[in-house]
Order: sequence, then structure tokens, then C-alpha cells
Amino acid sequence: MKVFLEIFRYILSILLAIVILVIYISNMFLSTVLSESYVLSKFEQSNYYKKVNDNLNDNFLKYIMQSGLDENIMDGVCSEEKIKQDTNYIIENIYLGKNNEIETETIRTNLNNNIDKFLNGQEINEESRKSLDDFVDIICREYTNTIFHTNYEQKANTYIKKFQNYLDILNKFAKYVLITIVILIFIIDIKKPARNISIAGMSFLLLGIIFIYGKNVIIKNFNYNQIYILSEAFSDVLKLILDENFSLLIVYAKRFIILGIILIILGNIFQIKIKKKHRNKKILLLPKNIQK
Amino acid sequence: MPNNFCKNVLRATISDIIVVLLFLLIIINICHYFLEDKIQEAFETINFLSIREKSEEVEKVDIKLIKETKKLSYYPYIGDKYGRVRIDSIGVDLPLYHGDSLQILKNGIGHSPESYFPGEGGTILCMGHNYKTMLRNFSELKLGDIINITTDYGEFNYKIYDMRILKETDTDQAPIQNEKEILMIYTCYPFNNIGYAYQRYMVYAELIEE
Repeated sequence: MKVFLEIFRYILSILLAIVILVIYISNMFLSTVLSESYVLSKFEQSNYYKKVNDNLNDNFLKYIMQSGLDENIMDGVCSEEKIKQDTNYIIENIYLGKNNEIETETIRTNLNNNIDKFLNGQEINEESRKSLDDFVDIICREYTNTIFHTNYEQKANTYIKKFQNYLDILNKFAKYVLITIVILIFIIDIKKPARNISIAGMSFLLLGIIFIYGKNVIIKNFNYNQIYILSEAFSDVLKLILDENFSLLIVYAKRFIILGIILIILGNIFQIKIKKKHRNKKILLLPKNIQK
Repeated sequence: MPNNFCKNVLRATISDIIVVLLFLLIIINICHYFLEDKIQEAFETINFLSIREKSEEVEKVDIKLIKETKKLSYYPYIGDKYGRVRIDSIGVDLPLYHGDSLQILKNGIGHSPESYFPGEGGTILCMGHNYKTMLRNFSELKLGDIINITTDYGEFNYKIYDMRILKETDTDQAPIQNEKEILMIYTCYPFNNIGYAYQRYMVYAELIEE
């Protein structure tokens, strides 16, 4: 009976570790990639807007070179602030389901003003005027495409909402399971509370090692430093998010391992002290000649 | 007594840690047994969708011109820089790329993939923007001027023998043939055009045999 109880305790400790793992992973997703404010903060941290601005200027040059216009035609046409504002609109569309549009009228107006300044009253024929209008259209299109490459913002919003709901439900369920397991661990053998401390310690130790093992498996199979999705700038944001979360995983892993070992040692110390006390009590209760 | 106590605690702790490691082994083996294929498939899909192979670390290959067959031992990929174009009479010194995309033309002279390479004995069709850092001074070229193309596999000099203004649709004026080595470089015309240019300024040059 004692052996079965002990085995059952061990099973509960494994389940405890798994449940804490589930809670950690769901919270990690909910507070990082599924959080609009977190994603926007990573855009800032990785200088995303500056990189997009540089990329845009590089892309615009391809068209400027064949237009007969000078590079300074793009001066003041679009700024990092505008890029940030438009990127934030797209992020709002994805995370909050809004229907913001990228506005290009400002770009069109500024560019036409610059072209007029460049021409400086020079007469141009209809064909050239048409090709200049085409040039302005191409620049606006290039801007919109560079800011974001997808038209699936609403679809992305649907998936994000679904995923957030599932994780919320999973999180709540996992917390109830956690409480149940903790209660079960303690009521299995109320007379040995010290042993329960060791069991909890074993769960944390197991969890810490799983974290480290899991991270190594992921890094071995997924070279995230070579990741490329949509653009270099966006890929840099993803790399930053992955880097941070892997580092945090190791920090928690070390904490769990240390906590686990401490709890195991403490549990065993109390357990052995209690055993000794009981043994001493028993010896005192025995007749004197047997005690000797 | 304290020694015994410490020994007992240590023994109990080590046995608990061993149990944890056994748990870990069991969990890993269960995962491997039931989920290994699915996990591998998931990683392959993620890698396929998101990982870009590093192309910059490809080993540089020595290109040689095989004189007997007039073929190259190795052909550059689209986007590879494989030489330089120099026209001393108008101060042009630009990199030469294989390919003719807008991205390539932003950086130098493009080489049409449908034409031959220098040294192969056929038509070499190149193009560049008439932008100030590119071929803006094409109008100053004269008959007899020399165009030098230095590649990874040799140096070739071409003497200009003709210059024409063509419509962008006059593709028959740039025939691709393999009987004689002719270099054709074109740029947009007029040179000070504003907006899209519908004409091309084509320069024809023949190889100067050594």
C-alpha cells in the first residue's frame, strides 16, 4: 500500500510539472506574440521603422533612376513617423480587428510638390506628364507594399482571437488542475507533509530540466538566426522576440532547478528529523531494559 | 550523529534526483515513440516556410574561358557581379552584373541573360540607367571609343562602330547571334528625359582581337 502511494505521489509530481509547463507556455504566448503592446515595443527596440525607411529609400531609387528625376525628389515625402503610424494601423487591424487603411495622399501630394519644384516651370508634354503620374503611382504602391506585404489582416485577426480564447481556457483549466494536484499531493498522506515538500521539489527540478532540454531540441532543429519572413526588418523583430524568450526560459529553468533541489533537501531534512523524533519516542515508550 | 544525519539527507536527496532523471527519460522516450515523426514534420514545415539559406557563404568559383569551345567553365547566377565596364572617354567605371532587374540596374550595368558572355563569340547585350551616377554621359561617346570589360576570367576591349536611337520595341535592332562577338550597350533616351523614356540609345562595339 505504501509503495502504491509513493508511486501515485511520483505520478502527481510529474503531472504537476506538466501542468506548470502548460501554464508557463500559455502565459508566454498570451503576453508576447498575442499581445499588441508587446509586439509594438519589440518593433521599437529593433529599430524596425528606421530599417523600413532605409529599405523604402533603397526601393524608391530603382524607380527614380529610370525617371530622369533626382534622388532629392523624395526629400520630405515620407518619414519614419509616418511609417510608424501606418505600421501601427496594420498592427491594430491584426490584433484588434480594425479596418485602418494606409494613407498615401500625403506621399502623393509631397511628391507632386517636389516634382513641380524640380521642373521649375519647365513645360513638359502630355506623355511625360502621364509617365510622371505613373511614377507617383508606383512610389505610392511601393510604399504600401513595403509597409506590409499581406492583405490577410482580418484573417490573421480571426486566428489571433481564436488562439487567445483557446489559451485563456487552457490557462484557466490548467490552474484548476494545478490546485487539484496540490490538494491531492497533500491529502494522500497528511501525516507526511515533509515528503510532500520533496515531491514539489522534484516537480520543479523536472520542469527546469525539461525547459533546458526543450530549448536545446528547438535550437538544434530550428536555426532561427536564419529566419526570413516578409522582410529583413520584420525578421529582425522575430529574432529579437525568440532570443528574449529563449533567454527567459533558461533563467526560469535555472530558478526551478535551484528551487527544486532546495525543496528536495529541505523536505528530506524535515522527513529524516521527524522519523528520528518518532523513533526516539518509540524507544522512550519501551521498557527500560529493552531501551538499553 | 550529525554525520549520519547528513549522510541520510544526502542519500535521500540523490535518490530523489535519480527518480527525477528517470521520469525525464520516460517522458522523453514516450515523446520520441509517439510524437517524433510529427515533431520532425513540424520542424521541416517551419524551416521550409521561414528559414532562408545563407547564400553569401557560397565558395567563390574560378571562372575560366575554354578557348576551344568558347564556353565558360562556370556561369554566374542572376544577380552575381562578375566584372566591370570601363569607358575612359566618358569616365564610366561601373560593376557588371548578370541579370537585368531593377535591383541590379540600381547598382551598375546589367547583362541580359538571353545574350552571350564576353569571350563567347556572340552578342553581349548590356544596359544601364541614364542616371547621373550611371550612363548619363552616353551622349558624349564617339565612334572609335573603347569600351573595356574586365571579368573574373579575362579582359576584353570593344571598339564602338555604330550608335542608334531606337524605340524600346525595336528588339530586332539587338539581334542575338553567335557568329561574331558584338557588344551592345543601351540606355534610356532622351538623356534628360523626365518620366518614363520610350526610346533607347544603343551603342554597338566589336571585339578588338589581341
